[in-house]
Amino acid sequence: MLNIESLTLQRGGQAVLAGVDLHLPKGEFLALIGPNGAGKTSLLRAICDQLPVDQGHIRIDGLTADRDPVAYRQRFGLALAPDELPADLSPRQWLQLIAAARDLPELPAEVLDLAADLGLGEWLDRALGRCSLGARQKTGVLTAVVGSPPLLLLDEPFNGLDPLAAFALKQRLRQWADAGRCSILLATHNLELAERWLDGAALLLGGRIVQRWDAAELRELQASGGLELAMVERLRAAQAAPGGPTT
Amino acid sequence: MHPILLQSRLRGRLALHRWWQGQPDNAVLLLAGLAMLAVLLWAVAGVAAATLQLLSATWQNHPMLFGMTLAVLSAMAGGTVCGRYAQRWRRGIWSVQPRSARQLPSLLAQMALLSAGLAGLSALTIGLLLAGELNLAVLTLTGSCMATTTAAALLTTRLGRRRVAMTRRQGRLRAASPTWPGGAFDELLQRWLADRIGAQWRHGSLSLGGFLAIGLLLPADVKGAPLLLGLLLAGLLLRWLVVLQAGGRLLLEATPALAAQPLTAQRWRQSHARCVLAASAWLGAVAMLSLWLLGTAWWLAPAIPALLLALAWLDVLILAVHRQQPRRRTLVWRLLLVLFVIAARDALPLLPLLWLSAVVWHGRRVLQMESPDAEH
Repeated sequence: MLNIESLTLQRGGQAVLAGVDLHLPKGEFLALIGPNGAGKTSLLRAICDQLPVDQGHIRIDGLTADRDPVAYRQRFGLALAPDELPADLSPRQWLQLIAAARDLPELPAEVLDLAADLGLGEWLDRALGRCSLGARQKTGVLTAVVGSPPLLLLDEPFNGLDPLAAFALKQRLRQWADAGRCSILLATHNLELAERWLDGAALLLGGRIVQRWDAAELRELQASGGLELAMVERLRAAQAAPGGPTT
Repeated sequence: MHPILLQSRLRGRLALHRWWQGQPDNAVLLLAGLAMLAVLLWAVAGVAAATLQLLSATWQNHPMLFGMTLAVLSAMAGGTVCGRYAQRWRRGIWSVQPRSARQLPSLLAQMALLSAGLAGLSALTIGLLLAGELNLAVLTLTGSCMATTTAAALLTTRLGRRRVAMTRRQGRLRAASPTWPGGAFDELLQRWLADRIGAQWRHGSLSLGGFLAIGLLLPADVKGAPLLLGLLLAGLLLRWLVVLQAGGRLLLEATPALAAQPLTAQRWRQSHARCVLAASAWLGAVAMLSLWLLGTAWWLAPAIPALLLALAWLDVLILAVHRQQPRRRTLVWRLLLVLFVIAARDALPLLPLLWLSAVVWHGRRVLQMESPDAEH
């Protein structure tokens, strides 16, 4: 589904990503974890072709953004942050616009169902600028699922969600991954979520993926202090190493 | 100094610091802006000379009327700025800080003092320029401007509380957005533009600077109904310009939000072009009518709207090329305007050639960007 090889990205003269290799098979739900500034958001934006890549390749279903930008973009959905949404449109209008951008005749009923499950129903026709943070966050997440793209890219999608909405979203994402409908790459600091709901986790540190755990390893970790402890130990070791990244 | 004024000072310093760090990009922008301003002043100097004389004559013959107009304008400007500060104090981040009740009167007093000082300085400069000496009339003008501005500043900030309540009520009424019936992307983008333009039309402000520019360009011999109608239409024209800017801004705002969507640059450009050109056609018609009513030469009345359309078309192309980098768009426009104004003043036949060159150059860039081999 998603293949990243030796991805290097610099911003302002500093290496943000320094040779990232990542393979995400179809139907896998993977957490991208790491300290602040590790490059999680930059990696997601690079996959979306929003940041110019210095070296390396990103392919989704064998397609690259430079050869076939429209088909490439059809294959992923990116959840937007609340402040990226236009304040003067309602969630419904914004999602209609996204559906139209993906050449759908109308807003799919499935998106409206998920909106109802997330408790966005009563906010659907209010201007986004007058919606609560949670309602805007839900709209940002729904942006990614319009058109059922085979790859979902989510950056801290549970921020600002109430427990009911967060649970409904986790359930729905898990169902989609289990059904092989889509692969999901989720950047998060919520390690408990990664342990309980996901198929694996990749630790991004200093612009590289330094460790990856699969579902079985995550379960094993639960018996010995969990992912949190494993990650903290890995970060401390990296800090202690000469020339290691500071977090 | 009041904390909110300290905050403004700090913001100004930070902006200056950021500007300094952004060199040489900002320096080029500033130079282009200064060049544009100088050339525009040079270009309108000839036209405005007669109007300035008229202004001077009005000052000599009707000092009371002149003084009152200036005092009202000064009070309006001062009141607006002070009202904005009082709103920020009551509703902004400062409203949740542990602050004393005495700080609001202190803010009012400091703001009133500042605006009265600025109003007095401006009135004194204008008075000295027109009278050529410091006399009783100039002092009276300065005093009256300071008095009205102080009164307006105090009144606006006092009335601020009532206005906040009204804004909240209006906000609730406007909270629900209309639902779109659906359609293709281009249609929905058009609807969004139409909604934004409608909102801008209802709430957009008229530029005082624009009105003053029209006033300076008015021929002295037009009177009565044609003058009034012409001014009204000119006001409408200014509003259209605000609306047109809103259309451009929306597309710049929408670009990052829709960057991850499967859209081609061509679809973007077509949607934007339709909106801008339709608005420009209206703008052209209003411009032609107002110029005709204001007694402009017969050939100039259709020429200016045609120029507006030509510039709007060029803007569509410039925006298509630089939609990812709005600052470059500003820079290109400043440089082009300097060239256009110089050509219009001293080498008129070069003007269409310049415009055509700019259209062809940007058109080629757009086609290159849209070609399948283009670097995305």
